[in-house]
Amino acid sequence: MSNPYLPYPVRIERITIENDARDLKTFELSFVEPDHAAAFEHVPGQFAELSVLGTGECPIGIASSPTDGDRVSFTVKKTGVVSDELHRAREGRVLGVRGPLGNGFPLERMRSKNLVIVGGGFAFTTLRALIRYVLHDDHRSDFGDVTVVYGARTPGELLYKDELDAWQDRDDLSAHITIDAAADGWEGHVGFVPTVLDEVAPSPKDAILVVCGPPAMVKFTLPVAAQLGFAPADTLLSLEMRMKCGIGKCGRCNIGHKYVCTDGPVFTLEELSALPAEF
Amino acid sequence: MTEKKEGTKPETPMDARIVSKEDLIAALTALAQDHTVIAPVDDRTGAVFAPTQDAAAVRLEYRNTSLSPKAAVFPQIETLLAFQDGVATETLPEPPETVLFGARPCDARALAMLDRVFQRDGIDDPYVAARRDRLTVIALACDEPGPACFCTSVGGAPDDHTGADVLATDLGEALLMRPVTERGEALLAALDGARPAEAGEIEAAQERSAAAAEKIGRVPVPSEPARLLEAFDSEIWAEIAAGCLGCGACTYACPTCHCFDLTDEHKRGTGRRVRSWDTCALPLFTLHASGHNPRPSTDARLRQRVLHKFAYGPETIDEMLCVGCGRCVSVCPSGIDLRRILARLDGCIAGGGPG
Amino acid sequence: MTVQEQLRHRAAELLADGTIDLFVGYAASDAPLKAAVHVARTAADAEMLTWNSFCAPNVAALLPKLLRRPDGAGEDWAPQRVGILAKGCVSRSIVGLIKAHQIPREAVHVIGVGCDGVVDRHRAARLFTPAAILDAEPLDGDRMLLRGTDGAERTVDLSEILLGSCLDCQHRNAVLADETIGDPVPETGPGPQEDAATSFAARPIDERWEAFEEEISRCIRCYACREACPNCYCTECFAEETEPHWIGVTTDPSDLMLFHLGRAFHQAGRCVDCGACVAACPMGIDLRLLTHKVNRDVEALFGGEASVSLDIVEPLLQFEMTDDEGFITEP
Repeated sequence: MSNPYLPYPVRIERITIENDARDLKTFELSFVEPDHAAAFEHVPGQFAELSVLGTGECPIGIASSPTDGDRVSFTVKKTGVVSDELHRAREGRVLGVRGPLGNGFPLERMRSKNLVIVGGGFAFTTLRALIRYVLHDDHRSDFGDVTVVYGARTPGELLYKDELDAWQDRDDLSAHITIDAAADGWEGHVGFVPTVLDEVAPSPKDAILVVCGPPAMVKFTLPVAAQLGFAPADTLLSLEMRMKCGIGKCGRCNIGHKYVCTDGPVFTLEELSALPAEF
Repeated sequence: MTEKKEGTKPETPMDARIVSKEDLIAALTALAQDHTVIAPVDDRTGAVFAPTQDAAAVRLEYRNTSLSPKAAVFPQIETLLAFQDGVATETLPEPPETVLFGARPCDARALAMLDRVFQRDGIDDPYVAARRDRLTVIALACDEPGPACFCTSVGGAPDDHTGADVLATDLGEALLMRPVTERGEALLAALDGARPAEAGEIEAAQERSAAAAEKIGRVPVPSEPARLLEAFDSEIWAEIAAGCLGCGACTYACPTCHCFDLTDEHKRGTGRRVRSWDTCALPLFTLHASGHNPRPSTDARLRQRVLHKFAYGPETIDEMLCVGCGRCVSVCPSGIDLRRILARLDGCIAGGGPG
Repeated sequence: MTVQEQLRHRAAELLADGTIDLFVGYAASDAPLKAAVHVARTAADAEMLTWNSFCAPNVAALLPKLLRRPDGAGEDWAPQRVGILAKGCVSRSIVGLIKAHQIPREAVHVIGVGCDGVVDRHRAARLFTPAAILDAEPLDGDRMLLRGTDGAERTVDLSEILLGSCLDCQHRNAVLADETIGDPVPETGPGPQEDAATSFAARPIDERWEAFEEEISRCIRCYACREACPNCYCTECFAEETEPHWIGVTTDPSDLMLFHLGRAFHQAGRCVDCGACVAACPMGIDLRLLTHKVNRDVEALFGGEASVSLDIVEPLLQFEMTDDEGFITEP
C-alpha cells in the first residue's frame, strides 16, 4: 500500500478567478506522473488535501467530475495561510495532492432517483462535481429529474458562471440560480436559497436531497426540506471540519465516533441526528 | 466491548524461563550492541524510558514513568516528508532492531491499541508500522500498583500480556520470563543463562500478580459505552471541567492518546512536513478558518477527551482507549481525576439520564 | 475555628447571601501531595474547600476565562462575581490581572490567607525514586510523613520539599484582599534559592547556556506551564501563531528554547514567582531558572516588584526618558 501521507505532484494548468472579490479561484491541475492520474479515481463529494509544499495542506472538495478526464479541479477561497499562498501561485507551479479522501456522495442509492441539489456560496464546489457527473452522457439516463437551487450574495459571487448559463439552456435539468438582493441586469431568482427552494417546491417522491452551504443557509434550508416532505434518511449533507491527516488517524475531525474525513464528509441527516451536536 | 482480562494462563513449564538479574543485565548489555534498548532509568520525575547502553542503569523497581513509552512507535516529532526544490519525498524511518524492556502491562496493551488506530479501515500508517515491526516488547508485570492505577477496571491486569512479546515477572533474585509471541520466544531462546522455569516459580509469579490486582482500586466503568452519550448535554461536564486549565499534560503523558498535527517548515528551497503530538485540550485543535469552533469551551474539550477514550474507542477499535495507567491523574496540575469523573458519570447515567 | 473551617464557613456565607456566584479555591484530591482546583457554587461544594501545603496551583489563572465578556454579549452583560482564596502570590496575580484590564476589580471578592509555602511534588518524589509516593500525612512542627510504593516511610521537614519560589517568597500574605482569614504569616527575606540564582548568574555564559539547554531539553510542549500561569491570558499565544510563524511546533532545541525564552520575556515585569508553572510541569523542569532571573533584571533595571499594589504602574507598562538603555547593543 502506498504511503497515505505522500502527496502526488500536480501542476497548475489553469487558474480561473471565480468572483468579483477575486478571493475564489479554481485551480485546474494535471498529474505530473501519468499513473497517479489513474490512481486518483474519485467520486463526486470526495475531497483531497492540497499541499503547498513547505507551507502546509488544506482539505478542499474536488470540484471536477471523474468524467472530466485526467485533470482535477479545486475551487479555493483565500482564507488562511495555505490558501493565501495558493492564491499567489501561478500556472506551471507544482503543488501536491493527497486523495481522493472521504466517502463521496452515495451514487449507488442515488441512481434512478430524482435529485434535488441545493447549494450556497462557495460550498457549491462538490455539488458542481456531482452535477457534471450526473449530466454526463454516460450517466444522465441513470438518474431521474435533476433540480438545482444555487445562490450567492451577488451575481459576481456566483461560481462557474459559464456552466450556470449552459445549464439554463438544457432541458434535462431544472436550474434555479438566485441572488440575495435584486441587482441590475439580473433576471434570475432573487431571494435566499431556502426561500427559493420553498418556491420551487420539488417533490420528495423518489428523490434524494443534497444540501451544501454555509451553516446559516443549511440551518434555514433543512426545515423547508422537512416541510416539503424530504425524509432525514434521504437528505444528504456535506460537512466541513478542521482537518490534518484526512485519513482518520490524527483524531481531530470527529463528530462523536465518526470521522468527517473518512466516514464523511457526506452524511445523511438521519446519521447526524444520531451523533452528538458538535460540529 | 472490552472483555475483562484474567491473569495470563499458565504457560507450560518448558516455555517459561528463569533469568537471574545478573544474566538479565548482561543480556540487555549484549543486546544493546546491535539493538536499541529502551528501558526505564532514573529521572528526577521518578523514571523515564530512554535508550540505554548500560543495563545496570535499568530500574526494575519503578512504578511507572511520567511519560509513556508510546514514543517508541509514535515519536513526539517525526519528519514524514522532505521537500527539496518543490519535490516531496517520503522519509520513512529505518529504525534499528529495538527492544523495549520493562514496559508495564498497561503500556504494552496501549501499544496494541495504537496498532489498531494506525492500521485500520484499510489505511495503514507506514511510519508507525516501520517502528512497530522492528520492536520487541518485554513487558514487566506489576507487583505493586501505583497511586493512581486502575487497569483492572478497564480490562487490564498487572500481568496482562497483550501487546508484549515477552512477559517478565520480578521474583526477587530472578525474573520469570514468558514468551508471548514467536519474536519473544526467539529472544528468550538466545538469552544466555535462561533456564526453564519450574511450575512452582510460575505459580509464585501468578500469586504476586494476583496479590497486586487485589490492591488496585476499582473504578466504575460503563459496561455499555454508548450510554455515556446520554450524558453528552449534561451540566455535569461544566462541573467536572471547572478546574481544567486546558493544557495538554494529560494527553502527552497518556499511552493511548494518538492525536497529532501536521506542520510544514521551509527555508529557501528545502523544507519538511513534520508530525507532532497534538492535544484536544487546546481550542486550536478544532478551530475552523472561519473562526467557528465546534468545541469552544474547556467543558466541551474535556468531554471530548473522556468520550474519545470510553465511548468512541469501542466504536472505532472495539475497545476503550484507556489502559488505567493513572498518568493523567498524576500529571494534572489541577488535580482533575479521571477516576472521579468516571464515578460521577456512572452516577449520572445510573440515575436515569443527564443529571 | 481552624483556617480551613473559617474558609468553608465564609465561602458558604458569601454564596448564600449572593455576594458571589462561585468561589474558586482548592479541595482534597486522591493524588498524593496535590490539591485539586475546586469551584464551589453551593454550600455543599463549599464544605469541600481545603487549605494546606498541597495547594500549589495559582487559582487566579481561572479568573480571565471566568470573567471574560463573551463574544456578542449585550450592553447589559455583567460578569459573575467570583470569590477566591488568595495566598500572597495569588493576590499579586489578581492585582496584575486587574491592572492589565483582564478582570474587573468589582467582580472579584478576595479572601486573603497567609501561606507558609506549598509542596513541590517532584522534589518530594526525588526522595523515593524510583518508587513513587503513595501518600503524604502532615505532621506537627511543619513536618510531613511520606509513604512510598516500596514500603518506605520518610519524615521530612516541609522546607525540604517546598517549591523553590516558596523558599524565596517575600509576600506570603495577600497584598489585596476584601477580607482575610487566619493570622498573618511572618514575611521572610530572600531565601536559599536566591543564593542559588545569584551564583548561577555568576557562572560563565557557556556553562549557563549549556545548563539551560539541558534543562529545557526535557520540555514536551504540553503548555501546562502556560495554562497554569495567570499572566498567560492571551487568546492566541505567540507559540501557536501561523502568521507570522514565530516558532515551530517541535521539540527541536531551537523551538524549545525560543518558546521558553519568549514566555519568560513576556512575563518580564509581570511574573509574581508563584511557582505554579514549576508545579504544573510534568517533566519537573526548573522554569524559574529563566523567570527568576528576568524578574531580578527588571528590578535592577527599573526598580519595583510586579503586582504588589493596584496604585503602582509596572515599569514595563510605562517609560521615562531617563530609563537605562544600556542593554540595547550596537547592531
